[in-house]
Amino acid sequence: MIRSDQPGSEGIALARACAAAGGRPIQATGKRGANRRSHAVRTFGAQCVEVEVDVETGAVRVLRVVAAHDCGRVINRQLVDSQVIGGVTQAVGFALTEGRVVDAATGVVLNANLEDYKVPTFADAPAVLHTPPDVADWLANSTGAKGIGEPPIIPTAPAIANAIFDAVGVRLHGTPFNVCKILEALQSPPRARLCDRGKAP
Amino acid sequence: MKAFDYVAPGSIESSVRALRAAPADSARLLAGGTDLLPLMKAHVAAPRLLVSLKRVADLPRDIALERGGLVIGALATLAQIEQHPGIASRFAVLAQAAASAATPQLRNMATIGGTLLQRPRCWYFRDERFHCWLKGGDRCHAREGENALHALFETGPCRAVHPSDVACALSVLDAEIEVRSARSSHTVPIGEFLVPPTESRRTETTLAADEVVAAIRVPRTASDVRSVYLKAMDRAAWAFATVSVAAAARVRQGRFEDVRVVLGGVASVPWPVHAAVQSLHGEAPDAQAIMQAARAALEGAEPLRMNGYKVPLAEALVRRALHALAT
Repeated sequence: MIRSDQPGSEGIALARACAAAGGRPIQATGKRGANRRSHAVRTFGAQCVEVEVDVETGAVRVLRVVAAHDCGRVINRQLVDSQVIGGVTQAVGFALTEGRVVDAATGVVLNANLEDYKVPTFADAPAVLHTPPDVADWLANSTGAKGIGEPPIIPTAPAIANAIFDAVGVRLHGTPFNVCKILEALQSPPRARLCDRGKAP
Repeated sequence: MKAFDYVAPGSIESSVRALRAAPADSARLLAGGTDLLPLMKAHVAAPRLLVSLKRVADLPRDIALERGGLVIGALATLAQIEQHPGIASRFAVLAQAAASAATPQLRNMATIGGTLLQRPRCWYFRDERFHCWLKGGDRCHAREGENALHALFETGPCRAVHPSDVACALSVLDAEIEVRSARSSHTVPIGEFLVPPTESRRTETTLAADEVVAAIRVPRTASDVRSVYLKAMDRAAWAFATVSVAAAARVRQGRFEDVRVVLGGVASVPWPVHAAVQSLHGEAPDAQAIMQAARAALEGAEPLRMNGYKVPLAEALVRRALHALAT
């Protein structure tokens, strides 16, 4: 069906429109109107994460992420899914492996390369299931769609932290949630400081 | 990268001659290049002459099983080692170590000779802005600096760890390195080939500047010896070991015999702890005995400010390796 966005206009079936056009091309133009001044536009979302924590080696694996992000009307499902998978994968790195290492004495960043600064590999990337609500938000703008670039990266790390807590009962408050922090948190008393023992005597 | 000359001789003899003809410390051998080229790009190595081993006809690149032992040509790649059926069945620790290293692309290029000679991954060593002890400076910056990835065991001024997975496997298998020079050929036990750097020799190997690694020989082991390599890393693939364990043993009539353990990622060289786990000899592989042996293996560790986690991590890997050998 081809429809106009004018109130009260009726749609016309594509076959009828083609017949009426008699072989000439059908062209139409339109544009995304301005956001309404009366409403703020927000993209809401939630993620659930399943992790596996090896309590002896401190290794954390993110097994599965289910993400639901309300980006209004889904115009291109594959593009939206890709945004979500990309954002979640990036966030897995932020949560587990990525961290800037700075030499305190000189200020030199010691891992300013893609070997020492560890972004996730395919083997680190979890299965990501995206289930968009796909509900057009006509208060947002004339397309009913809302932005989905940045939102998927936001909930992942806190969700991983919560999943680690759910799995092994320890609360981690700073990324990356690496082996060192997991093993330090998992120790039964007496607690030794494993990640930073303070200044050497 | 600075300008350099490149030659590709056809024999070991002419390679050695090219090394000897060059001014001291100005020539380097080039095999897979997976370590040397990044060092050159980082301005940590600046050879004026590269002697490529690509066309050297008498430098072997194949793997042979001889009388139950292994002879691995120096130019054999890690991918060859990983995929060799005889290694996988008789020397599992070696196949597993090769498979755990780097990435498939790097393993297709990296040679076993080069893997033994790769330099540490220490970020102070690899950054030209730090003139650290290993590069001829007067102190190890990692001692007071960022040392989460550094050594637990003290072997000298440098606290970098040896990066090679394969070296740990070769160490637990008592491999010998066949070294060629202009006139002679001799074999060196791996424990005398990889040694901690000293004041006068700031490298991790005793290989002289005009010598070439020709082959690696792994002696025959009894057919019921089992072996395993376990590696902890900061992500699931493409990382050097934070800690690794190469272990071998046999279990006869429910009792451990000939238990051998080498730790990786804890010292400037692969770190054998055979003596520490000798308590297991004649013991049943029960959890208590294995736990005590794992603790003993880490005795003497002197963690730095940020690498204390390596102690429980290494103990866990030793326990796991020993349980794996017993089941």
